[in-house]
Amino acid sequence: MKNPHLQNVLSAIGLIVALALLVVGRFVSHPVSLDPTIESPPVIPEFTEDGQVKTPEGSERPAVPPAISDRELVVNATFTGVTRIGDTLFFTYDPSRPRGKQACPT
Amino acid sequence: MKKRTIYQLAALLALHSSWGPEVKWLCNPVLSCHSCALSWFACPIGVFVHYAGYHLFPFVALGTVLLIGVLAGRLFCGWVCPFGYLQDLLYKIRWRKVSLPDWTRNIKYLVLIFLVLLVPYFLGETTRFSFCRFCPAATIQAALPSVISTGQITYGTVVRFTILFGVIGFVIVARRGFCRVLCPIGALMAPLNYLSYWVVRRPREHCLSCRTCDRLCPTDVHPSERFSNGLPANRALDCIVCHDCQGVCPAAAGGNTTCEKPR
Repeated sequence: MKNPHLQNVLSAIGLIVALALLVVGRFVSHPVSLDPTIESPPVIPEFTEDGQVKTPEGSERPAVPPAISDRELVVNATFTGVTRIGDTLFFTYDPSRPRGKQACPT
Repeated sequence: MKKRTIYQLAALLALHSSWGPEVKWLCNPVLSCHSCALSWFACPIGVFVHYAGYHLFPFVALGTVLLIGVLAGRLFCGWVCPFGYLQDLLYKIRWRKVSLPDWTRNIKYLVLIFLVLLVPYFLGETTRFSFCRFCPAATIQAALPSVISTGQITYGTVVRFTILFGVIGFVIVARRGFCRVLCPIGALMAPLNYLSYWVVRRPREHCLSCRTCDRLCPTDVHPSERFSNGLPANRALDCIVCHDCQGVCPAAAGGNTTCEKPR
């Protein structure tokens, strides 16, 4: 690519697309169901103003979210914390408990 | 010790120093498995494999990789990637060396399309045929500690280690062979070298066309061709932005700086 102007335009487009993906990803959420084989207490989720799951008062456990952010899904993808069965995403663990460091089975 | 080696060593230690906290939502575009107990960041390939299996578009993961690629191209391949550093070390072993045919560079795009995207999309993210199952970095960082701690060896473990030893042998004889032929992160980042704001400028106004830089280029991308045309050397798919071509330039070292070609 010898044309520096075209180079600059393409670089700017690439930068804008990257930032747009990050901005969209900030607002996208994915519904994830609980694995029916995992025992989990029924907890009504509460959210903070910035969309994070809020820990209910008097409880040490965080509430189970009905949907998780794209960032949180990336974290879950690093240890197969979410799996797809049919057209539905399921947690492979109890998300209401602290999970600590996890290794990916793949 | 070269400046780049110091950076690679520092990156190796820094990327694998998590004593507890993690930044796993952030994909670092280097071949470093997020299953390593000490890793800070997510591997973009592992995340893409899972998103393909979920049938979802990886907004944050792709946005992060694209942002780093547009800003720096494949700079991380040359300066940060621990598996790249391992290849640099292994290539120093005295053994017969080979040059790879140009067509082999295209294999990594097939690896990206099939083993990272299509196979997990159709067979699910936990399929035994995704790239993660064969990834040599994952074998070193995750499978090896697992085998040591549990003592369990399965058929999959044998396949993994066979591939790892094959890759080790390959990179001993072919410089940065894995990056050039098989690395899906390299395939992902390669086109971004053409867009990146990071540039490897020619050391002096006049290239001597001595081709010293071509001989020392770790990925054989002939930087002199672009230097002599007035283009940044990293405007090539397989350039890992190591800047070695700048460092070895005799013109930059205060030698002959005229346009004359050496006889």
